[in-house]
Amino acid sequence: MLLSFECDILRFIAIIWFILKHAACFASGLHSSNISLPLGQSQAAGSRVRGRYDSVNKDNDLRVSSPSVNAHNNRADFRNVYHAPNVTSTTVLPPTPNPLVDPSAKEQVMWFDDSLTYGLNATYDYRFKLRRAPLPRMGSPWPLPQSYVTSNISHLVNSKSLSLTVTGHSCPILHGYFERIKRNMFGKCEQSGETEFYQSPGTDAVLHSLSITVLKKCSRYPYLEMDESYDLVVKSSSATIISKEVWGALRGMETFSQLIYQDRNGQYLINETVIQDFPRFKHRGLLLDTSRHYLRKEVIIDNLEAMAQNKLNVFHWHIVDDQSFPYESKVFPLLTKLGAYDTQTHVYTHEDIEEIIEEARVRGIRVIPEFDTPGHTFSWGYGQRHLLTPCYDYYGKPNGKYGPVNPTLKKNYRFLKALFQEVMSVFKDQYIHLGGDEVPFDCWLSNPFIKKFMSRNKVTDIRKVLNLYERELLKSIVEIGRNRKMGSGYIVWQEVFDNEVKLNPDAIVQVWSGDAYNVERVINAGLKAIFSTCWYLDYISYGQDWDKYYRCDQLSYRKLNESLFIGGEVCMWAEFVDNEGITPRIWPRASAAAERLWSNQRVTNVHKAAPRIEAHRCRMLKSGLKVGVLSGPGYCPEYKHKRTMPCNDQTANNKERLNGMQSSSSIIIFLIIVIIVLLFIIILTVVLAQKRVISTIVHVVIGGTVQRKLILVFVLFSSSWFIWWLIRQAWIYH
Amino acid sequence: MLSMASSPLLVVVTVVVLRNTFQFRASGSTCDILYEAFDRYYRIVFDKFTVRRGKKRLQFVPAAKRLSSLDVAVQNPCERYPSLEMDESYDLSVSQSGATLTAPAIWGALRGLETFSQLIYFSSDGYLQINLTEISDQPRFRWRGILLDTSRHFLPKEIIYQNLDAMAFNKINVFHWHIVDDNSFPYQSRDFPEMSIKGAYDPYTHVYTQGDVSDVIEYARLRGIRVTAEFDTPGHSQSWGNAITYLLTKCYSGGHFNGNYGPIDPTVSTTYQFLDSFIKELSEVFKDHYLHLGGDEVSFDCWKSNPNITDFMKKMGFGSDYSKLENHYMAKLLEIVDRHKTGAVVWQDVIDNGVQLHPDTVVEIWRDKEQAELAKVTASGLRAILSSPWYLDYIGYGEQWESYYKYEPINFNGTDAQKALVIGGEACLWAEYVDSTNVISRLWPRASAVAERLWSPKTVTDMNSASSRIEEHRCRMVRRGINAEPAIGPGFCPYEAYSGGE
Repeated sequence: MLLSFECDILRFIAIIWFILKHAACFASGLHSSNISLPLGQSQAAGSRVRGRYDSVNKDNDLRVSSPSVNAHNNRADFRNVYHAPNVTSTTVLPPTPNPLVDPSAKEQVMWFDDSLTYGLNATYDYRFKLRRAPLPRMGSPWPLPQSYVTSNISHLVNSKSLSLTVTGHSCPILHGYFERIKRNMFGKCEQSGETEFYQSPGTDAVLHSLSITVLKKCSRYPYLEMDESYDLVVKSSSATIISKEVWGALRGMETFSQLIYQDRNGQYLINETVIQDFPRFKHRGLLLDTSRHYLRKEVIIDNLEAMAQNKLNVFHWHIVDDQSFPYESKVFPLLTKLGAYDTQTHVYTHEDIEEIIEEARVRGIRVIPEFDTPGHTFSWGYGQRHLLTPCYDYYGKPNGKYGPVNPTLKKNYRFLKALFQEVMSVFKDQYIHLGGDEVPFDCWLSNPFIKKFMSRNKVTDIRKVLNLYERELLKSIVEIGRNRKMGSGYIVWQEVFDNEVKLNPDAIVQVWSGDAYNVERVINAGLKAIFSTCWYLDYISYGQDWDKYYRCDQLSYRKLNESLFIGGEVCMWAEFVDNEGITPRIWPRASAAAERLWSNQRVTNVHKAAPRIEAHRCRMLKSGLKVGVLSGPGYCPEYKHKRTMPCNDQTANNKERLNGMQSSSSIIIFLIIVIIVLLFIIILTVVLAQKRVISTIVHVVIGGTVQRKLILVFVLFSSSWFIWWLIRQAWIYH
Repeated sequence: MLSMASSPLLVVVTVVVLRNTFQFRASGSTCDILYEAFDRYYRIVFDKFTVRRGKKRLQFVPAAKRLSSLDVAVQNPCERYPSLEMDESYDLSVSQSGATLTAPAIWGALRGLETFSQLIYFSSDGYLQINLTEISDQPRFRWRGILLDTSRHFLPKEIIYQNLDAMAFNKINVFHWHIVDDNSFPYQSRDFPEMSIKGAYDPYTHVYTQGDVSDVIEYARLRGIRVTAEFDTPGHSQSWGNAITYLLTKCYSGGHFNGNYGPIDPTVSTTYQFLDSFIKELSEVFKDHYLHLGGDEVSFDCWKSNPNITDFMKKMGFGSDYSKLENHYMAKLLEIVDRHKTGAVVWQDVIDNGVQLHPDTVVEIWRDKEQAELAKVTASGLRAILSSPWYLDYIGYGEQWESYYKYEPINFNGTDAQKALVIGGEACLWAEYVDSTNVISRLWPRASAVAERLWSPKTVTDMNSASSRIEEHRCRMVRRGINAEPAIGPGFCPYEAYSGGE
């Protein structure tokens, strides 16, 4: 009897599962399942520009080398197309072969000589003569490989059946990366376009598979000394990548995906190519600032994807600063609770950070967090008492303002050690960025306790106090490293070096102001250096600026020992950008820096780079990234002879968002369905199984043995738990 | 005009707006525009606010504390299309007994609904609230426009829709559609389809079909926005020449045709025959009374090189003054436009060259020394709109909206009658360096500063009030799905939307 009861339940559950599954499909099919994001009060105005106070915030403009604002209010300057200087023009070029897609066609781009008035923008369209952006040269890699030999023999690529063969060491991330480059190349919605596949004349073989050989054992996380070199050969119908480490294989796959281009029928082609490639610099980074404006996890992951497409390998996460403290500290929860803009929505939990590190790892990107001290710490002061130095006015009274971390209290060093202990268990990279820039001394100098501390320790120079602070901090970082498998290393801004703090030999100094002379000083002291002065992308100006980042004049005239000069970073400080506009502001400007950091020193010709970077921009757009404009009017070729929106284009997302207005109603529909189903269960149980089940239960409860009672309780409990689980599954599925 | 939701002066009591009891009611004349607006604002008010922290239990709200409806009384029958002469004034009153919105015309009702939706805010205890408020409002200028350039970079229709939404949120009432230029011709012409086949970047994916154009006009109409299209001639017309082969002037060097083309050839009659039928089409397709004819930046070099034009100049007795030739062209073009009962807007270059203009013409000022130019234009009895101070394509580091906001449009010595001829202004976003990926974040909220300057009274100049309101307004736009970038330095919005790659 009990058995039949159980069977009934199971049958019901099966039916319910079926209904639920389809209900979820139904509900999510009605509207795009855009679960609405948390939102809140309409008044945001009050809490902006927090932490803008005199003493610490000396001025962020200190970082400016020279903010150039070239807003000439002269439209004629750039809209006038008639004064074509020194162009020996021929007649209108024939419409075929199409230079956009046929690399064998003669380069049709013609440049003006007069770079002053027209610069790089000046080029002719092959159909009508006009100033416009250089034509994208599809199928050319960015950044340029160290050795790149290509022929004009092209092969078809079968986008449907392209597969991956791994020989040698098989690392799980290879397959995930392959799927991603396939999606980037061929789009998510390929089935909607016409996919008839035919052999065009001039091509014989069809490329079906990419084979990868990794020689060394896989390492879990990317690291500073990782080997990113690879060889890539595309010959007749096979493509092969050989690399020492898995990280090189990832870079090789990225290059492979960039070699593929579409002809005007929408066919994918690849040219026979031999590439031997390795990076010029080990440390190629992007700094994102999540303190001035909070960046959503999705935005960060988008930028990681863009970094992978540009072979950048370090995400320098400037996670906290004066303005807010979005890092979720479990050891000091008050730091987050009082320091974040919003404790519920504007915080990176440990799970968020883990997810970001994982997304970075599978793209071969290291995540290095920056916890900047002793300056740039205003937001820390809300949650940790006595951390910051109170500033005093002329009359020796506290003026209510706070300066950098108070270096005289022992308690503060204990706090810092505990905090960094936590940070270095959450973040997996060997290195951590300790900041140390822009420490304003005036607040320290005004404070009587610091004066007392100085006289007690017989210190006359206030810089010596900073020195003591840094020494103490670095000591605890080294101590923490003893308990980590990978040890600990640190990066500091150049001021720490300038203040003559004694640094470990594996320390890295980041140069952000001044030219290559500063790099040279660091190297001469036997320390590693990375360079950022060239690439402060938050300084915007009208017109084209990628060529400036590409040349990076501050570096070009100096020969530097590149064994210690290990790389550079592109910096995007977030005073004036947030989620809404950051991606098109960084990209494709950062791509220019990416080539400078990866490619050979001799690759410096901006004019040759121009068609390639345009192609790279179009490629990033196609993969669904919102990247901005490089060099003036133009467009990305779309070879779909259909008036449909490209699936991955961001406009599709906007459409989704317009529909997303109704997402809340879809949730309500779903809830209603769930309630109906539950009622259905209850009614069925009561009506159909009434006689047998209830009498059984009554029978067992009144007269059954203890064992039977236990079985009954177990059955009731487990079935109700199972129903709950089903509902949860349906919810997650939804 | 960006409403103050929390100004202490206005706070007497607040009432709560509940999703299931609140309704919009029409008590005057009605039409599709009003019903669509009710639908739209209902969604904006209730769907764009979601309770962030679900755990909080809402208490019962007594009827006296609830706002049950907004009564919208439109006094005159609806007009079908917005026009330059439309009446956008309205009175809005939110009291304990109910809310009423009174407007002489439907367009005022739209502006009033926008204000009403901005007054509602999310209180700390989880309700949508509105303060008791009395507003009597009307625009300072009749022409408040945004120029979008779809020729330098193509903008998909969806992006134009988003911009129209944002324009409605900022009470902008003209979409100046710089639809074609040298670089491409995305307008798919009804009568001359080869123009976009040969002139667009891509004749399949980078064009606006007739359907697209009428969709955009309809979308704008429902939001009280006029669509003024610009077909710039005789310069800025290279992309026309691929299809209409006789249209452009052939440039000569060394006595031979050198393969380049210049502005439209004003000496041959075929040009005017073509323009006559093309303008006829445009006057039928674009519903607004005004058509922007351009007329800026005409280069004379190519005209000078062409022997046929030299002959024509001799015949007409123009001497070597090529601006007379341009005059000849513009006069004929304006004649054609007039014949098709369409009003004309031109760039200031046309009047600088001394062309006699029809009194119905509107002159748009874009060069430097704009105040002197305004004085000159209005002295000749013509109406003027101003865009020189609001070229939003010029970007720089830091806060820029302040300078747009502070600029006073009427600042020249002239009679009151002259000053009354300045009918508005436009924020221009030329698209050399923007495309669909960044056009919205570049335009908003910087254009919001221009919007307030053009709507609110001259006396509204308090920067403190403006900066807190523009910050709130920016967050409001973000919440409503517009990717507006930060207006002022570091900070945050309680709700941050995101649309991007994957």
